[in-house]
Parts: sequence; structure tokens; C-alpha cells
Amino acid sequence: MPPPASTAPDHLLSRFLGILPSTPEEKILRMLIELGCEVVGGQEGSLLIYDKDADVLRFAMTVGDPESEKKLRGQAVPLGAGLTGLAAATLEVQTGAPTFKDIEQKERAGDGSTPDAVIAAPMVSGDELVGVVTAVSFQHGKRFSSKDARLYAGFAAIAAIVVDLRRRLSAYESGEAAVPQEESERARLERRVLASMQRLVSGDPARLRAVADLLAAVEGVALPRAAQ
Amino acid sequence: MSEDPVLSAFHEQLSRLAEKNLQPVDVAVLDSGIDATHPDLAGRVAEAFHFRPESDGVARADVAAGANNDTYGHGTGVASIIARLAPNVRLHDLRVLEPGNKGVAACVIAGLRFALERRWRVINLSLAVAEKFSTELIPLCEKAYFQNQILVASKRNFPFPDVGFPAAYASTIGIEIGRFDSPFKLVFNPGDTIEFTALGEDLTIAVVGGGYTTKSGTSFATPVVTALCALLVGHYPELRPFEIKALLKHYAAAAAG
Repeated sequence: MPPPASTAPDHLLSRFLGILPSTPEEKILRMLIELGCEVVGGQEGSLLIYDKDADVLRFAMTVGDPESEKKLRGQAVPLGAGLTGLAAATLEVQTGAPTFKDIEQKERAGDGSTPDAVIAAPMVSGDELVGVVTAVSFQHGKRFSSKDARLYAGFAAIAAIVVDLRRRLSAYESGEAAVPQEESERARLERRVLASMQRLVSGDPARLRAVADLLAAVEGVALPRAAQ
Repeated sequence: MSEDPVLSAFHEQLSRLAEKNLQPVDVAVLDSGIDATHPDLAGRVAEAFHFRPESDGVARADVAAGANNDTYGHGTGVASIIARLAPNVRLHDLRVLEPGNKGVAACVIAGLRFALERRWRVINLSLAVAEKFSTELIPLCEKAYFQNQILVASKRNFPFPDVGFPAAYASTIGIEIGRFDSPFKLVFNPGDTIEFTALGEDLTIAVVGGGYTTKSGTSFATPVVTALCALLVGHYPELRPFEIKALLKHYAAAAAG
């Protein structure tokens, strides 16, 4: 059944992704955004889910500033609009910076209320858009590099796996899908990665840096030649 | 007897080429279009076209010269880098991306085919299509090579499921992103399908409607190399694509010391 027009912000994760409040999946998603923000030097991060029927993204989770969370939750972003919508439309990670009137970038265009740096990375399950995760910084002159973008895209990919696993599990539990006799190699590995992540970050914020360094190291190994 | 252009080019400082009396070079930009009303691009765009998908194929429409043909801003940013670095460039704007920068491979292929018909000397592709389109793309890139056209193309920023095409073909100059203190510095990547790394971090680009912003990505490293190719061809029109590659490798080695 399609969601009603007035989508209740508090239930967006459960309504669209099947992830209930205070479940391990909800905590992992929040930790992924917090960790991703810390790794790239962002101050706030968000998860926007894709509302397929309305063809918009909706803010479902925000970290870093409780006021932003209150203000943004439930707000809709059309696909293709702004950097976040563009990440959703192209399924590619995007970075953004403010517009300036001059080439020396001294005088900002507009009212100057936009962040100094933004990353938007799509969450894709199979070929299907699930949502977008963002990181923003209001630090003067801050710019996200392409390496930051690749790293954050890695967090988005893990978030998409969390959602995908939840969906598959829900389908098995409700009887909509038959439980496979043998777990696929990929599914088994994904489950192991997630379980490890959860153990690493649970209950000890001091470990966040170590996990971030680990992920950066893994990214360096997994991706082709690092940019100079 | 005049000196061999290749030998002369080997002794030329790339960064000083822009100061020379260069011949105009036609550069096609296949992208989201160009805002030719931006002060940095006014008078630099010779022609503009729009390739759009239709039920029975791809339609091509002429766009008024000097107008804004960019619905998103990607192509304007790319073109502004080329225009700034290579004053001898005459831009040809081929809009092959739809609003939101959404790409349709058939439009990219139609745009490339058109650029080959027109024989514009350098073609910038700050985009990538999937490997499954290689059946159509490879012969076009081969044709460009043999009719002395230089294709410069971007690697994907996030190289999954592939590094992106046509950047990975031998007949093109594939570009990876790097951070350097000058656009005239390059890295040659021996053994890699993406042969060159160029400045693509924190580049100042023109914004549709006026103004400037900062962008990073392989999309913006690619026009840096396109501009370098245009400078070389502007001074040494006889250069063939393989000679351009050899010169870029030479400059990369020189820059590395």
C-alpha cells in the first residue's frame, strides 16, 4: 500500500525501509553516518530515504545537531534537485561548495546560509535507489576532496547493505520469500562485515577513530590507485 | 628546413604554450551543455546542439549560439576550465545529458558520431558509459584515432562496476584525478588502463547564470588535459594522437623531476 500524502516523519525509516526505532539496524545506520562524518570532517550528516511513489527523497535521520533533526525530518527533496537530488538521479557520489560572485571566491552569492561543503552519496540496493546519505560542513573554506567522497560513498554502500539485509529478512519472516537453503557467499560475507562493524563501534566512542582509520586503509586496498 | 614538430614539442615548456601565437583549435564538449552567457564563456562557444532521446532514436536540435544550453552546470564548469587554460580554443557545445545530469548512452554515442563527422580536433568527454555499449563505442573511438582526432575521457569517480568507457580504451586519453599545484603537472600511470592523472581537486569553475564555485572530480581533471592537448595542437598542428600521448608522458616525467 502506498504511503499516505502526509508522511509522519517519526516513522519514515520503518515505513519505507522496514527499520524500526531502536533496533540494531537503526543504530548501525546512525553510527555509519556519525562515523562517516567524522572521517571526512563533516559536522552534520543526514539519511534521506527514497519515497518511490512521490518520487522524492525525505529526510529520515540527521546527526550532529538536534535542531537540524527537528527542522529537517520529513522534508522532501525532489529527485534531481540540488546536490542530494543529483546524487539520487545519477546514482553517483557528489560534492558541492558555495557559489561566489568572483573568481577569487571572496564574495559569496546568495544569502550565505548554505554549508561550505557538502557530500551526497547514493544508497543503492541492486539497481534500486534506497536513499542518500549526506555530510555537511559549515567550517569556513572547508572543501571535501574526491577521496572524502569515495570514503563517504563506502559508508553509503554499507548503509545500503543494512537496508537490503533488513528487507530480505522481513520478506523471509513474512513468508513473502522462501528462506534459501544455503546462504550465498556474498550474503554471508555481508553479514560478517556488518556484525564486525557493530561490535567495533558499540559502546566505545573512542574506537571510532580506529574504525575510521581501518576503513580508510581498507578503501586504499580495495580501490584502484589512490589519487595523488 | 623546418624542425620536426614532435622534436620541437618535446623541448617546449607546456606552461608557456598559452603565451604563444597559437592556431585556433576546435574542441567538442559532450556534456550537459554550456552556458555561453557566462562572462568566462561569452564569445568562446562557436556552435551549440542538443541531443535528446526520442521514442525512435536520438534527435539533434540546433541551439542559438551565445545562449545558455546547460540545464545543470556540469558542462559549463568543464568548458570554463578549457577556456581558461587554452585561449586558442573554439568550443563546440554538444549537450548529451538530460536535466539532473542524467545520461542516456544513445545520446552520448550520437553526439560522438556527430563530433567525428565534423572532425573537431579535440573531444572532451567528462562522462562515462557502461562497458555494454563498447560494441558501438570502440569503432567510433578507433575512427577518431585514425582521422587524427584526440579523445580525452574521464574515469568514473567511484569506479564500479567498471572504470568507465571510453576512458579505458587505448584509442582515448583516459584521465584519473590528482592533486597538484599546477594544471601543467601530470602523472603517467604505466600499466594502467587510465593512463594519466591530472589536477582535478578544488578547481574553480564557472556556474550557470554567473559566478564561480569549487569542484573536484575526474570530470574536472579531464578538461585540464583537453586544454593541454589544444595548446599543443595549436602550436604543432601536425601532431597525431599517439604523439600527443608521448608528449604528455614526457611532460609527466619532467614534472616529476
